Parts: sequence; C-alpha cells; structure tokens
Amino acid sequence: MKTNNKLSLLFNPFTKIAGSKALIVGLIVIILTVIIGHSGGIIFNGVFDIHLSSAKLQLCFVVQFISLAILILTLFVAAKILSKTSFRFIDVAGTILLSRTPFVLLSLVALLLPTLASSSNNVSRSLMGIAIVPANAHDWTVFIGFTLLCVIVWLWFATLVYNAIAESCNLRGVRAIIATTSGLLIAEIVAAVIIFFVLTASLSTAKPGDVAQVSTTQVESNLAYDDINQIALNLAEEIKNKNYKVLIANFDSEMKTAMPETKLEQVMLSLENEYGEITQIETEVTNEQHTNFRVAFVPLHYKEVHLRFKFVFDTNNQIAGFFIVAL
Amino acid sequence: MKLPCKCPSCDNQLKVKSLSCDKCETEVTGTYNLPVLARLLPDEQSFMLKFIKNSGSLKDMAKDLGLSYPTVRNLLDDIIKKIKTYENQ
Repeated sequence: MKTNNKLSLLFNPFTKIAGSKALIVGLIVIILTVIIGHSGGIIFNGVFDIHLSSAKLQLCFVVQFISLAILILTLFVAAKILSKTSFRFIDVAGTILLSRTPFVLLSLVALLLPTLASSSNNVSRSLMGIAIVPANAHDWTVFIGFTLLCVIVWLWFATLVYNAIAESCNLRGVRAIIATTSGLLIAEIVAAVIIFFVLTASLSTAKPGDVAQVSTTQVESNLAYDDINQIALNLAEEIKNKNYKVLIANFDSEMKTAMPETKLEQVMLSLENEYGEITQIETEVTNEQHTNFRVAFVPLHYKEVHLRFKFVFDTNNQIAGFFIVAL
Repeated sequence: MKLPCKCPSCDNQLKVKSLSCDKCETEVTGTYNLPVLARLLPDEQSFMLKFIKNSGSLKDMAKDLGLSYPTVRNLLDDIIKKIKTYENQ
C-alpha cells in the first residue's frame, strides 16, 4: 500500500504539493535542468523539444522560460474555458513548473554521456546518407537509448501535466484531456514560432567583422582582425586550389604533427567525394576570440553543401587549429 | 455505529420513520427526510466538521490533512455539488 502511494506520487504529487511551494521547487528543478543540460550540450527549446547545442547559457534559459511561460498561459486559458469551478493561477503555474522534473534526467544523462553529441551526429549523417564515417554500434546504442529515454520522459511529463491540470483546476475526464492536449499542442506551436524569431534575432545581430567576445583577454599580436581575416581568405583560396602546402606552412608545430599534408589531403578528398568540389569561397569572414586565440570563420560552398573553414590563430599568427564546420 | 442513508436493497434514499426519547420513552413516528448533511458519506461529514473547526480556512485544512490547497478545495467543491443535488431533489 505504501509502495503504491509512493509510486502514485511520481505521477501525481499535486495532491500533496501545489501553489507557491510547487512554484519554488519547480523553478529550482528547471534552473538545474538548464544548467546541467547546457554542460551536457543540450538545449530545451520548446515544450517537448530537446536539441544538441553549444548555445550560451543565457540563451538556454531564455528559450526554456519562453516555452514554459507560454505553456502555463495556454493551459490556464484552456482550464478557464473548461472548468466549472474557480482556481488560482499560482496553482497552475506551480504544478506545471513542477511537471518539468522528469527532464532533469535527460540533462543528467547528457552530462554523463560525453559521446552523445558525436554519436547522434554520426547516426543523423548516416541516416541522411552523408556520413564520412558511418555510425558504429556504440553510436547507434547511444542514439537509440537516448531517444527511448526522451520518449519515456515526454510521456511522464504529459501525465504530470494532465494531473497538474486535473488537480489545480478541478477538471476531470474528457474536459481534462481536452485542456491538456490542446494546451500542450498550442503551446508547442506558439513557443516554436517565438523561439525561432528569438534565435534568428540572436544570430542576425552578429555581422561579418563583428567579434563574438568569449573572453575579454587582450590578445597580444601585431596583426589586426582585418589582417587575420585576409590571411584566412587567402588560405581558403589555396585550399580550394588544393595547395595544401601553403596551409601547412602556416600551422604551428603541434598542428604540423597532428595534421601532416597526407592526412589533410585525405580529409579534403573525402569531403570532395561526399559533397563535390569547392565552388566558391565567400568573403564575409566572422570572428570569435577565445582567451589569446582568434578565430576566423570563412564560409564556402561545396557543390552540395555550405560549410565553413574555421582557422584558429595563436598570438604568433600561426594556425593552432583548423576545422571544417557547419554553418 | 454508522447512520445508514441508502436502502441496502434498492439503494434509494432512506427517510426517518421514528425517533424515541431514552429518558421518558416517548416515541415520535412519521416520515422525515434526513437532513442534507446527514446524507453525506462519513468521510465527507468528517471533512465538513474539520472545515468548520478550521473556521473555513482551506489553507489550515490543507495543513491539517497533509494535502495541497487545490486538492482540499476540490474536495469541498465536490461536497458543495453533492449538497446542491440533494437540495434539488
């Protein structure tokens, strides 16, 4: 009997806790979920949505709270229409925030699984047929396991939301189902639209030539960003013309060891086999700064995909890192 | 001993047929409807008593019963609905 009671609290704790208590506990849980999720490389950008992302912590908080605010408002309005009794907004808000508790599991798993991002990307590329290296058994296990966990968490969350609405608004049966389903659906759509505009606005504020300041350390170098960017553009053209020796000449000693010419040729050839030849190098270079390293992103077009060269320059203006990344 | 409110045979509402005095053995017979509050279930009657003893404070009731505020309010709403149904009969 006691075990049954404890189990029932997992799906309906709202007979015991609601109102301001649930609000405070829910807020703490959500803050922890976002912080742990950010550390694990995931972002909750919707009512149900979860994506791999290296977005800044502030953005993770903004999108999470936008989606929750919309969810609470939508469910409150739905319950106002369908309930025959009066109820308090704080009960709705508190119980809905507390309903997000299962998502902390996803954050914890993402933090504890360092290969989640790489495995998921490998599987996605394999499914789309654009994998340079096909996904292996480990990748598939991680991907399928995390997906199953997501489904369990979503079902648990939906059950909690249903019970939250039933308990805080005295809705039962069909009315409770309608309120929950319509509230979740409308909130997901509205939140997705608003978050899209928020993300677009945050990306569009970065212009070519702007430097995304990750660190405020003064970089010790005799070259300005314009010069660095010109070097990056020149190197990109040399890569396009397959003059890899020029790129390697600009590597620091560690890069020369890590990526000799033969290896660089192999990487570029495999990209060419997948996406075709490089057709165009764009001139709108963007920058970032990480402590004493300056980064130049050069957009380019392969025949079938748009990517970016990422050149990481050290204080001696040598290349300490070279990556090919998505836009 | 619990006061029965429903007929054990047909589940219909029972009525009071006779009342007696222990002191002088006077017996009064007739057909009286049970008071509305007497028709509630024992749990519901206990809830109403606690509600009155807590001066109508649902907050205090919630603390007393170890339940959340909306749960206690829902119980009260259900009892109110039931009482209204009895009054309309």
